[in-house]
Amino acid sequence: MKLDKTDWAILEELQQDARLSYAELGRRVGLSSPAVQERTRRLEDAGIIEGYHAKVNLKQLNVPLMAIIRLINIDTHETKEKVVEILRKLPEVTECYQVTGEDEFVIHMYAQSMEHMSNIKMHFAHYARLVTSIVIRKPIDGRVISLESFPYLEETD
Amino acid sequence: MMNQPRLDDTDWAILHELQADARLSYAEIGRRVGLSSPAVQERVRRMEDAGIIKGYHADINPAKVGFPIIAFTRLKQVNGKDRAKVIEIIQNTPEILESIDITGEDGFVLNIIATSHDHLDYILGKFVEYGQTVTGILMKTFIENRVIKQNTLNFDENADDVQDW
Repeated sequence: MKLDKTDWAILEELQQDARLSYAELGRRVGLSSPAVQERTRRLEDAGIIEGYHAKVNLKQLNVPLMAIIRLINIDTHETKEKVVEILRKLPEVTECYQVTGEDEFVIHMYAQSMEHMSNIKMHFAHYARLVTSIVIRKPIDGRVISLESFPYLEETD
Repeated sequence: MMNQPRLDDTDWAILHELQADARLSYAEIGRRVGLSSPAVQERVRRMEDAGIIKGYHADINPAKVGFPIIAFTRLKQVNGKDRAKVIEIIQNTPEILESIDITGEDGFVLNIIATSHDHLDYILGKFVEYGQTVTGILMKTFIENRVIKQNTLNFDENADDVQDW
């Protein structure tokens, strides 16, 4: 799907505030409310917009710790599947990626205390070597993908 | 300032709906959680004001807008004197969607999107003078945008649900 400047303007607005009404969104990008709704639907149908999510600040809910854990040296495919199954059952684990290189999995998890974190890790610690880093801060968190930032995308289909 | 806002079951139900679909109307959320539309709006505003809801964001698939490559890069061994320069490069590189400061020798974890391997190589080249980069290309996402639920926070220090190992 070829994106024009108006599509990009819609994407930019919705990345910044996914709760804008179609009327307000239309006003900002210079379209009528039905026209902007139609374009948004096309962006959703094409899989360009994958979803809309409220971001919850766990620090405000007494969950101050976030860690990035690398799970290294997972030996077999069966173990990998087992680990994924375990991670899916742990609500504290919010992200899990498989990457190339020596790191098999990178996971993000939240905890209320070091003890809590340690208890969660016990569920999968015996399947891999774990390297845990505590997050100090996220100076850049979910930067908006915009045409202005990436002028070279104008040629993209 | 409420230093420990207490959320009841209805607040959690609203948070759940908004994490799963941030574009739901107040009326629709109200129907799902059993409240009037103004009552939902009021509760949402309270959670926004308390900083519990930080924002609402559309999630874009980078591959579909021209970035088929997603990389996680650990940037290590950055000298103290180069830190400011490294932070400046990160700020000025829009392909870095996320930058996380972590404990340990790595220091920075970057989430980078790129149009090609050459493009990724070009982006990583910006750091070559200031430290060592270790990069893994994303192969598969198993868990992402997980909804934070009430039970995420129900850690019981006395619970004995840890497997033996």
